[in-house]
Order: sequence, then structure tokens, then C-alpha cells
Amino acid sequence: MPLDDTAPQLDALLLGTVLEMELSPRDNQVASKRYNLIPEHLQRPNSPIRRYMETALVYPQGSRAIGATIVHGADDDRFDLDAILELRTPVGWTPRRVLDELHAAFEGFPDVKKIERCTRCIQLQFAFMHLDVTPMDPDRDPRAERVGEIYHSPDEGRDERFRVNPYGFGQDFRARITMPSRSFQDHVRDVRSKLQMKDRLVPGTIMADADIDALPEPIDPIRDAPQVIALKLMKRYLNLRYANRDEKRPVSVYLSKIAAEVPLSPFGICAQLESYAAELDKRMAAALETGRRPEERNPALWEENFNDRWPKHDREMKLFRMDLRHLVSELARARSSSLTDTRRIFDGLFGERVSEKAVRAYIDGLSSTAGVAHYEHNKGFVANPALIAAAPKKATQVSKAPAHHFHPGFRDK
Amino acid sequence: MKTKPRKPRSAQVQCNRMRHRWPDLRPRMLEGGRVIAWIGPLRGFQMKYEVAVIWEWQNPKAVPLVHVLDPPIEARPGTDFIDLPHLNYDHQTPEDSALCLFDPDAGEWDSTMLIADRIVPWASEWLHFYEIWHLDGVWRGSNAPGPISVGEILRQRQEAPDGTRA
Repeated sequence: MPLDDTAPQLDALLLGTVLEMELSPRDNQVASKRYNLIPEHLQRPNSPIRRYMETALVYPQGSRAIGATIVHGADDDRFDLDAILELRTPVGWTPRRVLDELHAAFEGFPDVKKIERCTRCIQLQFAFMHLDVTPMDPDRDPRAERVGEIYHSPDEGRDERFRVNPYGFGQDFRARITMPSRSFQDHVRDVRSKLQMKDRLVPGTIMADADIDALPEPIDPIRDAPQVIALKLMKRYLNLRYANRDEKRPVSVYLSKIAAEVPLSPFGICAQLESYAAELDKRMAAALETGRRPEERNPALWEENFNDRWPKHDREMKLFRMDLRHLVSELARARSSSLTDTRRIFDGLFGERVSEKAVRAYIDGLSSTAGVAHYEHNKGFVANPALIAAAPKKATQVSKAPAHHFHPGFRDK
Repeated sequence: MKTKPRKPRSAQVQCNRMRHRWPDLRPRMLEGGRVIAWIGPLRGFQMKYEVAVIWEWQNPKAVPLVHVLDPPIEARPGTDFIDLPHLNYDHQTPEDSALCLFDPDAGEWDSTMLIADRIVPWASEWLHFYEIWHLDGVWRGSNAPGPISVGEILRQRQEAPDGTRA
């Protein structure tokens, strides 16, 4: 496996793919607005839980908290966001009642199309966006920061409570991520600024549009770290792989934890993704060999087992290994393929629409003006040298060739 | 102050630089030692092509030529080989055409320059743009003024009755 080799042009396409799956600045603003509307809505005069909302707290968890939100890709242009609603359990309320009352309390939420009561959360379904709100009963003081219990109430089976700390996990994840070089970050920002990012949440579908457009949305720089980029590519790939399967997929929080544990590769984005896939494969292999299922814990709350719901069977791990190996072998193939073939490989891995746009963005980003060209010693041309300089310790030597003009002519004339 | 005219680079200097920058391009002597050929892999978009960089080292006016050996370069479907952009076109055997990497009228190459620092990187850049050209038929590399292919040159000559370049 070429984990120790650069693939600069492939990196550019992988970056383009990730940027095409991002939320537009406006979509980010709309998402923030919806987070902010949660307490407002639950405190409205006729809300059934109004009186319990005084000390409530709402904050993002999951992908939104770690800069890893992407458009799903398999279902539609939808993105899924998660929030925690910290709310002291009213005396005498069972987990079932908490979820049922919260379900009722969300009725009439602006722009919502459907409200689903799930086993652990309430899902607000908007056009192009799902927002899962998980109620949490905060621990009593003295309390480790934002530790609490979430509720589990299935249609069949008994109610349960689980101690969790998603906020702490988010903080730990962020601390583990190595930010790439300044030139890498600048390049990503530059490519992003040239993209015509599509607003999925069309103006007019949400309340108070004017407020939203006026709000500058703070951009989380962590989203541009190669470890986070690799996580987003893996999530997208798995979204497509599991789209037509009746199988449980690896849980996002498990994937996120491992993504942050794989060190920043000095060889670029493709190598980062390959290293990440290899690490997951190694863990699955070890679990299958020893018969001990993975038990990845929340570093911020040891009793929280991220693998409590996946995997349940060896079959699930074997299937996941097959997917990982397919990803790695396809990336290896792309490393030595023509652009035309690479485009087909990307169609299969990440979806036709994003790969078409990523190729188009790459092509449009090339300058036809004669200028200095960069090349990697003993390998060749590099269109975007910043991409193979993500890590402070560079793995490759890049030099410049003087500007020139290609020119047709006749031999011996 | 007078500047000292630069001397052509010797074969030894060129070989040393090639060995340093492009160690996988292995040198060999051809045609009774008249020609040095560096043969080995060179990246296009991502795929590596086997190329030969051919240099008549004893001829100070000789321009190093780059030939793509494997996979061979091809025309786009529905077009002819002569329409491939920026070839040093060989009429007898078009498939033996070399890549045309610089504008001879613009002083972009002379024998005082290093093959390793110009010709080889430019050839890799050519292969990169060639793959993109195959995708949609648009050449996105830098162009010297005028047509981009020999096919285009010939068509323009046919259109101009005096045979001059249009």
C-alpha cells in the first residue's frame, strides 16, 4: 500500500470532492439559526415543557461539533446535524415520557416538515436537513463538565439511561487534531472561495431570512485539517456503500475517534485517507482474530462505550473490512490511473455528482497563463504544491521550473 | 559591465543533474555514443508514463526531445493524431513525434540550460495537460501564440492561398 507516497493531483481531486460536500456559508447560517431556535421554541408560552426550560442548554454535538458535517450523498442533498438539549428530568418522568413530551413540544417548529420520535432523540426533518435533538439529564453538582445521562426508550424493551459526554469528546477530538501548514490552509480557503457552492436551504423556506443573511457565521478551521478531511471522505464513502444494505453501519463517533488518532500524514490527503482506512482495517482484523469486539471509549468519560451499538456481529466487521479494502484498492488504482479513469473511480467511491464537480473545479482552477511550474523530484508536475506540504516535516522535495509556452512544430523543418 | 557569455552545459553536468533530480530516468548511450537517452517513468496527472529524453550531446544546436513510449499518446476519439496539441510532428511516422515543450522564438531553451530543470518538468506538465485535454478537448496549458496543433497549422495554411501562416 503506497501510504508513504505523495499523490498531488489525486489530493486536489479529493479536496475538491470534500468541498463539494460541504454546507454553503448560507446553509451554515441557517443551521445555526435552527440550533438557536430550539430553546426559543421550547420556551414558548404553550410549550408542554416550558417550565423545565429555565436552566436548559442547547449545543451541537456530532459532526457539527468537530467540523465534519457533509451532505449525505446517498439519500438526497440532505445533511444531518445533532444537538444536545440539557434538561433536568422532571420528577417522576420516565425516559419514555421525556421523549414523548419533547416530541410534542417541538410541534410547530418553524419550517419543519416532519417530527419523528426516535429511541434516543427527536428528529426534526426539514427540507434538505435533519436535526436530531437528544435530551440529556445533566449530572448533579459537582459535575464533570457537561456530563449527563441520555435516555433510551425503544418501542419494545425496557427504558434505559446512559451516561455520556459528547461535549468532552468534541474537545478531546479537537485537541488531537494537528492543524496543517499555513500554506495548506490558505490553499483550501482559496479553492473554497472559487467554488460556486450550492445553497441547499433555499431562501424563503425559513423564518427570518433577513436575520440569517445578516449573521456572519464563524468558520471552524478544524474542518480543513487532513484528519478531518479523511473522516469526511470515509463517511461519504460509507454512506454510499450502505445505502442499499439492510445492515447497521459503523457509528460516526467511532469513526471520528479513530480518524483523530491517525497522525497527520506528511504525504498528503490521499495517504491520510489510506492510513486511516488501514488503521480501521487493522482494528477490525484484531477484533475478528481475538473474538473481542472493539470497545472504543470516550476519552472524556471512560464508561461511555462508543461501540455499544456497533458492531454486534462478526458479519458487520467483515463487511466493513471488505469496504475498507475496496476503498484502499480503488485509491491505489487511482494513484496510477489517467484522469479519465480516475474520474470513474471517484464516481464509484464518492458519487457521480460530486466527482464531476470536483474534476470541473480542478480543471477550472488551472491557469493557462505561462508561469513557474512546480515539480516533485523524480516524479513530476504538481499543480498545487501547498497540498503536499500539509505537515511541517515535508516528505518530498518540490522545485520550480521556469515559465514556458507549449508550441507545435514540424520535425526536421 | 560586460557579462560573460554562458557556455553550453557539458554532458557530464547534464548527466549529474539528471541523476540528482530524476534518478529513475536511467541514461544509456545510443547510436554509437552520439545520443544520450534517459529512459524511465514520468508522472502525468497521476499515472506514470515511460518516456525517453533524447539528446545529441555533441551537437550544440541539438534540442533535447521527449518521446512517450508507454502507454503511447493517442488522439481523442473522432480526431487524428495530427490534432494532438503541441507535438514536434514527425510526418513519416507520426507516432514517433516528440513533445513540443517550449517556444523556440522566445528563448525559453538553449544549450546553456539544464535538461533536468526544464525539459523534464515541462514534459511532465505536458502529460498532465494532455490527460485533461483527453477529457474535454481543451488544452489548458500555456500556449505560444498561434495554432496549438500541426493539424491546425495545416488547415490554416490551406485557408490562406499564399501558404502563409494565418
